[in-house]
Amino acid sequence: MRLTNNILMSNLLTNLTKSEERSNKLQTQIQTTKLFSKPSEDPAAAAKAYRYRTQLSKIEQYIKNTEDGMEQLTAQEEALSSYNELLQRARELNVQATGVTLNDENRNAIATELEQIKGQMVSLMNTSYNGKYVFSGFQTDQKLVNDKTGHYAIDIDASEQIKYEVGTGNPVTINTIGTDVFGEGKTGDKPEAIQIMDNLITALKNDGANIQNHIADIDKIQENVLSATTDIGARYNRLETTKTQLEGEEANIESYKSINEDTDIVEAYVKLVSEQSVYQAALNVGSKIIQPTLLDFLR
Amino acid sequence: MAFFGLDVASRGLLASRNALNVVNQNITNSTTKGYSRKVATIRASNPAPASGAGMLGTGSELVSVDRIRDDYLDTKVWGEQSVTTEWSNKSEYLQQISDIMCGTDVLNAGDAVNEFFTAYSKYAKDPSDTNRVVFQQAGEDFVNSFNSMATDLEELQNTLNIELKSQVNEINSLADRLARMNKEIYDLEVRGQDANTLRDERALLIEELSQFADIKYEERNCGKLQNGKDDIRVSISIGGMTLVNHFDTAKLELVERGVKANPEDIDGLYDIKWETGNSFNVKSGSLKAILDVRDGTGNSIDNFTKGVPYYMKQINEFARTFVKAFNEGIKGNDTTAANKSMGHADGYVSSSKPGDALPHIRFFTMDKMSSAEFAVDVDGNPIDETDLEARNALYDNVTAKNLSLSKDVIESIGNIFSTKNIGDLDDTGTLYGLVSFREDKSLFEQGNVEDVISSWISTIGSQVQNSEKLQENHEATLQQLQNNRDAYSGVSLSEEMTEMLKYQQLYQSCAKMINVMSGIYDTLINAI
Repeated sequence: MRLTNNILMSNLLTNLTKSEERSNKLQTQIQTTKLFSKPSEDPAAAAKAYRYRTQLSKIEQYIKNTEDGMEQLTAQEEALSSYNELLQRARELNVQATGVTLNDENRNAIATELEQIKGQMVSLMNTSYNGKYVFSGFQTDQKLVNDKTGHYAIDIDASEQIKYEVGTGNPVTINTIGTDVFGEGKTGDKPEAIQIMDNLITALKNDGANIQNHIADIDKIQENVLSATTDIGARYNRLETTKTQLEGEEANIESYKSINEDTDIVEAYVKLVSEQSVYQAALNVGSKIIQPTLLDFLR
Repeated sequence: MAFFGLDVASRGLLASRNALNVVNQNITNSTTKGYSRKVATIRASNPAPASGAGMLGTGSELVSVDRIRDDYLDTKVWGEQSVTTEWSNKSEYLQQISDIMCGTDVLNAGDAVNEFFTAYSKYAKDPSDTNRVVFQQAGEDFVNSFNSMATDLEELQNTLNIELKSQVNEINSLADRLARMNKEIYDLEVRGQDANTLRDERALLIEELSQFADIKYEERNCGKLQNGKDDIRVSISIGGMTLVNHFDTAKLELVERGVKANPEDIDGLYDIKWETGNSFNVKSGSLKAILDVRDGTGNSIDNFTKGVPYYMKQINEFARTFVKAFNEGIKGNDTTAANKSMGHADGYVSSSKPGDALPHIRFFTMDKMSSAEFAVDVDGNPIDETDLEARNALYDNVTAKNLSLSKDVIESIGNIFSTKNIGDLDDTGTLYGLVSFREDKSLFEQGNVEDVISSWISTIGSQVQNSEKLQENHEATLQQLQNNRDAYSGVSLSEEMTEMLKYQQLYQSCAKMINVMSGIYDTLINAI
């Protein structure tokens, strides 16, 4: 083929441009640490990158939900364990009050302590966490029990289970319905334990004549509280397991995502260096080919 | 035959000087675009009868200066030129669609949609005013992202339409120039003159024209002229229709469409027609790139490129289905009550008071309408909220462009869905239920929300990738063809230098010859 100077020039230019393009792509990959920024550079990987990010945003939310759920359950568990201690103390006082002959002073002391216990029970039933009443079902802005009278202040339906999503279509109930633990009742009814406290206090104040033995009732309530606590514990464990799983999944996806879209800096750098030496060589050769014409030898 | 020797030598001087002029012309034009090298042909001039016997050579003469050019190579280059331009322009236009659909960084694609769900999940878990404000903002961002996608697609379609207009004008003006140039060349050549430079220029113009469309160049022999030369006439056609015929042109016209080809199109799109009324067909070139991307629905036989109308339809359908599912709990066009879940319009909002009727507030409407303005039938009467068909029909006119938050929600976060029973503050299960459509694989043709967005990314991505590959291939072929043509028609400096030396030495030798002849005559004259 007849080679003209223009052909040499345009071929050299094309090759240099191609080499520059490759270097530029590698440089961008190193600078941004990402393999691509446009879908066209790798359509399949770009679509995958979007899926990984979406999954991660979901998982992050699920993890946050498990953590918040665990906090909520912890708050309930703590409240119930304090409540159980109060019941234990009330049981002891009940034994004292019925077992031995007491004078007025002793009876009054017991009555005062029971009053305090009752007050503490009411405030435990109205435990709030993050400004929300934890035993009030969906009505988290309402106190479960009237502070002054000790009556239930709201009606709760057994279906008022607050659920957090901790996976796709995987809701976990993170509340404990107050009436399940503290005894069935509508607005105006008294929770069982409060009723017992009131009975004891009234009897003790009336010379202790009609003091009844509520020990069996208290035992039953304690059993109830215990089963509620166990249930909370079980759900807490489930959340904890879920969280571990989610964190594992998160780590996996992070690593898939990284393989999919992150630049292997070392590899890219090595490629860049070799690309640059190719470019240098092309420039050198080019300058040697293009310069001489016959003109250079006509002196 | 006096001074015969001097005469022969001086012819040699003349011929070599003319040849040197051709070399000179070649060298100075060695980088001129479209220049074809010229070759001087020197022939021995007719011999004269010698005194005595035989014929005596009378020296040399320049008989012609020929333009070295191959029409076949030109035709190949022009054909490839139009395909290359088509794909390089298409890559550019499709890249713009890609930027609109996926953002300039694909790693942020679909963020507005994800953010909508994330903000809603936070709100569903803890329906506080703080989270309500965050969710309202996420809703606003969601709406804005679709509004701007739609506006940008329309803007692209408009730009392409304007570009189409300017290219058609340019083709018409090229046609005029070509017709004029045909006349100049014809006139010169009929008179037996050299039109080499004009022919180079015409080839350049045709090359320019070949970027716009697939052209066909023909030189027809129309018999003999009076002076005995061939009557050669040139015609250039696009899609089988003649654009330039000898000295005449047929122009292209732009006709504004009366009826939109696609409901998604903007107003005022042009169709190209021949001024003769015939329809215009184009197979490649920049016009083809514009038409494909401007009008591509992805499913028509004429144009299966996925262009602006295709993507516009995609985002319209996505926006419509998405907001319908969120507002009404209706999935797709399935209006059976059993398949409906709770939607935003089915519950109470956070500002509802005990005893209030269901407010039927929509989170999304179009053109910032309030829910009351939006939820009306064709006659403007409020719809029956129990009629799912009627509720489904509300969304027929919702597009990505007119999508908005409802006026109620813009004005107050107190109008955001809160519960199905007034007083239930933390009914998170119901709240989560509103976005259960996110995972519904039957919601869209492509699957769920995530599937749709990832299908956009991979579809437009492979489209751009594909056209970039084709562009690259065709550019390589084009360069190869241009090199082939250049190898034939281009100027080689080494070659010209050799020629220069050759004719320089010829000149010197002839000059020497004059010297010698002069000596001979000198001797002769002085001897007398």
